[in-house]
Amino acid sequence: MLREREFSRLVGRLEAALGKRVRVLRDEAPPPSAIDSFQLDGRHRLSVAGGLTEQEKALICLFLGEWRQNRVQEPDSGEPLAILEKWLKLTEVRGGLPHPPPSVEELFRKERVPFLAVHPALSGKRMSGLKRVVSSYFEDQAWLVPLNRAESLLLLPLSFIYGEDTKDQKKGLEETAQGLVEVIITEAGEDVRVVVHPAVGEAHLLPRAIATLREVWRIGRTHRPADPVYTTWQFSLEKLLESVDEERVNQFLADVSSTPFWEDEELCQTLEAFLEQDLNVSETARRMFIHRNTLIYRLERLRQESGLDARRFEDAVRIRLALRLSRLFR
Amino acid sequence: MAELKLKHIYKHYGGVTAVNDFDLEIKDQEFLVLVGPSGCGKSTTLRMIAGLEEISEGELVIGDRLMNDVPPKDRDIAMVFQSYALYPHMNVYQNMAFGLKLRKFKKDEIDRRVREAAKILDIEHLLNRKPKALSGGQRQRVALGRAIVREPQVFLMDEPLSNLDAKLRVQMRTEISKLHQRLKTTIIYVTHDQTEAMTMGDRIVVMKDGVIQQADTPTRIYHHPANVFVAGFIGSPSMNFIQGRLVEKAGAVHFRGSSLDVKIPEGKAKILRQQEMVGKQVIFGIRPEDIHDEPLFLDSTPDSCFTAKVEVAENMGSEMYLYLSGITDQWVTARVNARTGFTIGNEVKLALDMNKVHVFDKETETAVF
Repeated sequence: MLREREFSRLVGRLEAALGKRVRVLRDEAPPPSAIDSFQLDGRHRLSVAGGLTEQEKALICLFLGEWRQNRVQEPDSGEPLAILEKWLKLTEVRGGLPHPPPSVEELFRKERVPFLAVHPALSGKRMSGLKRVVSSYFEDQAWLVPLNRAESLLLLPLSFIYGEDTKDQKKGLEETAQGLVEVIITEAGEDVRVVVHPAVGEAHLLPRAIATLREVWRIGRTHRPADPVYTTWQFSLEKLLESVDEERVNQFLADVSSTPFWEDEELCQTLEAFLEQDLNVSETARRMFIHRNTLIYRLERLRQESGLDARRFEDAVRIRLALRLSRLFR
Repeated sequence: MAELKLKHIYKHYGGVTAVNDFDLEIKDQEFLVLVGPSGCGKSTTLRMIAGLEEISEGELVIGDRLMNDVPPKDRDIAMVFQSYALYPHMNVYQNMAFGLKLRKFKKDEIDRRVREAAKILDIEHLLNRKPKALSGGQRQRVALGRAIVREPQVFLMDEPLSNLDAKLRVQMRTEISKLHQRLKTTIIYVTHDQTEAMTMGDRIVVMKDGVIQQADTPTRIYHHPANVFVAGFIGSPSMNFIQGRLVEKAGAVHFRGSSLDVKIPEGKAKILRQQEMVGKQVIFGIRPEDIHDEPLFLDSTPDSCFTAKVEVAENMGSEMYLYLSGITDQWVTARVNARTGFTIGNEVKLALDMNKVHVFDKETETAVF
């Protein structure tokens, strides 16, 4: 199935480039006359109708070379972790959820917590350095699987985080993610952000967990770009708001305020801090290192310009929604 | 040697310049504080020194080694961040020892360094505890301990105290200053908080929009700000600014605002004449503590007296902040003796200490004095 998909993609690219009919034949089939053929793998050849110029042949060789480099191998042999890595790549290529091989299912006899680490594109040497730090940090119990050069999946046994104590699981997962960020930055010297997902008990659930981690990463970057750690159980409001179409968002924003206060970066930061501190003026001023009168002045200015008083619950809700929605289409 | 040279450093993100021509030498063992509002480029500068951000242009030299392409882990730098986290599955000893273990230090050397750092930070009794059993201040000390044991050339600290409560922050501020005196290492410290900057730094770099506004000692920054931004940013409550014109009157230079006319002392007037400022529009600056209500002061400085209406009086215990209207279109703040009684809504007579005033060019906003 996978091989057919790969062949079909290659054939499509070649036909578009050459403007000629291209086919994949099994090796045992005799090539039709007046057709050029090229070996694809041990069992397949590529045939092109209509005779080829030297430049066209060179182009086909170039395409084939690239195709051979990029094609995904079937996960049918090797170490379990290497098989897991290949299987995850396969699920991405196919876009579906193929059943995991037995060796991958075996890996999930223990529940494992998936962490998505997003880092700069790493060379092989730097990736090895990262693996060494993570492995040592988690006492050889974590698996680090590179998803691509800028994303790695870390799978950690749930028992490593909690031991016998399973109270307040979310807090434990968050603290582990924060520790992971700290150790990667300080010991591996790589800038990293981490998203954490609750434990996964079966291998076939992993691709969906990765998709969720990536979605949360995207939402987190939009709404809380400075945070080093995101969790899949935060952003419920943001996820809900993402389903609203742009026209309705614009209508809501226009209804809330005639002056677009959400475009004033300083005011946005002030309001975010004020909402986070439960509308507490003194605490917000302290957190923002500003005098409380400066904060009051900013809130008062907002009230005069938009009619919204951030100290009133009803208006605070509107302000929070406006801040969130305005980021969606920036 | 841990002297740092940042030579014309730039950081560009697409079309945005986050750090613009940062050019500074940091002396060995210096405690340098980068301060400025959000988005001024101070953290980006620190992250470029750490190697977590690429330098777009310019050179970073530590000691005598060009560091632009040296990986962060090879820069001999230790970092403590605002969002620092302890390693939750390790006890305090293991937290501090982990980095050394990873670098394959011998066990007895690790033990020596951990115990020494624990002693400096007064956390010897906590070495067997897990992070969840520690208070906020204790956690902060462990995070510092983790950096100290590495004995780096340079410490980089990015708002390390901002997650602590006010009391603990004051305490840790002193601890870090003491630590610097004891370790005699270069520290580069980033903060929003001008009080931290003033109390901790040997030198302060005030930044705005990616550009250094002034780099100087805390005293000089406070008393001789280079421009309106620095004057307004450093000091709490911040400096009062009044717009007006400098005029020649009866052989003296006066500052004339919409509701204020005060005589500039002769020494300062001479500077203004030399710089051809007389007749020009200027911004006049006065710090709240340089506005006085003592009768003796009022009697001795009749040329700088004025009356204003008390709008708000904030009693801070040891002092009182008066917010005054009627001098300019914004309220002017005065810091006066808390024991003096003031009634809100009443007129009050005050005087400016004219030897402490600042004058800024209105066009460039740079300081004349």
